[in-house]
Amino acid sequence: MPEPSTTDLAALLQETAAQDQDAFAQLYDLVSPRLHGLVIRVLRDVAQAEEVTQEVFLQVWRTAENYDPERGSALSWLLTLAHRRAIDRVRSAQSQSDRDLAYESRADRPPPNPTMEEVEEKMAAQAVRSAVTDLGPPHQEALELAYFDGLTHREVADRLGIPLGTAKTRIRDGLRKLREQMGGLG
Amino acid sequence: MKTPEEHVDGLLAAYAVDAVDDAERVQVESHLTECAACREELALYSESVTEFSVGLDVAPPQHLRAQILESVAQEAAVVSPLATRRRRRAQQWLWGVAAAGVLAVGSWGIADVLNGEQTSVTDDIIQADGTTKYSADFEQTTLTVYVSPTADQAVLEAPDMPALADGEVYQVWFVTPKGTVVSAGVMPEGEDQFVLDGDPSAATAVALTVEPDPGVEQPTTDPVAAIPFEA
Repeated sequence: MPEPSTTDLAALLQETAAQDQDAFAQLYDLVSPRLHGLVIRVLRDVAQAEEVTQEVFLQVWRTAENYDPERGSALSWLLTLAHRRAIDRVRSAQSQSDRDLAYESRADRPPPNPTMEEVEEKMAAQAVRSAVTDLGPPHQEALELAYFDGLTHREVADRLGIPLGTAKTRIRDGLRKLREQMGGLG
Repeated sequence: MKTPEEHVDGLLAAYAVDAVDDAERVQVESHLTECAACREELALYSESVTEFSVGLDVAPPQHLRAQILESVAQEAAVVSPLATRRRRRAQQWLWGVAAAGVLAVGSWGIADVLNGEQTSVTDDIIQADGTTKYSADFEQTTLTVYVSPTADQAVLEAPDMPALADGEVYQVWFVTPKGTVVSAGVMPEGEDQFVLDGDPSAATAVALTVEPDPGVEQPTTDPVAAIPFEA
């Protein structure tokens, strides 16, 4: 699928903010695979991901007027909304299971259900082409624990056995390297 | 002078990937409102973050699209005219009941005293021949409004409502096509069904807002739910 252009999405968001349901439907068709894929990747559960994706789009409908083009692209605003909802869901499930079983590790979570296979394949394909994998292990590892597993920078530091300042630095430098590489790819 | 990366304890990049706890999130967002340099820096980080979801596309099932568009259409029918209207001319809402000085606020205290009678009126309306029923989904539950055959009384059924903070209540409103909004009472705590205060005959929808206890004369927030009176 071709990447929707930034201006298309921004325009559709503005029309959505003006309560235009057709624009909202177009926006949905353009970005729902991207958002839903991310939500599935974070939650690793297709049924829960569908609930969250639905919540995300209702939130888009209700809050589209909050999108400010001066603070970033429409795509990044939409992805942030979806990611935050997914992370919130993971963390509340996590605190629940922490109460149930204090020492349960995230690595002990049940294996992904069969419909996860599609996502796993995508991830393998992504590994070949994404700039993320060119970051090098220390940065990639810290960023993926944060972004995909929903760990806070403190938890990233604990998990990797590195000082807090180092975890923050890896996250920051990783994003900067990514920016440079994306510039190179474009 | 500090560079942006030294602001807010160097949390900006962590914030961009949601790797902050709730307190830190508040801290960063509060800083962002007053620091243009950090807003610019965050926009750059956020662009980089979009790279993580490249290639993960999974189209949601068709039924999800239908559900979402349906929910949006329902909200648009009631909630958005309300919200738009209030933004435009907050003071000009038509408050017929308020003007007449017979606001329904607080009436549920009386209903509690008359609890036995209250229940039977509820059943009478729900079970009467010709009662019309309208429903809408809200969070994990379904809200249902029963309008009596003579259309002069209505019952709201709202089981398993999400808990509210202390000092907050759900307040119910009748909405007319002209945008008039009239209080239909405050939901009594712990009751799934109750008779709405007032006459639903002119209303085209019932809307719910969250308000400070014991209710308010006019909505102070956008509706959290709406039940349009349409088949």
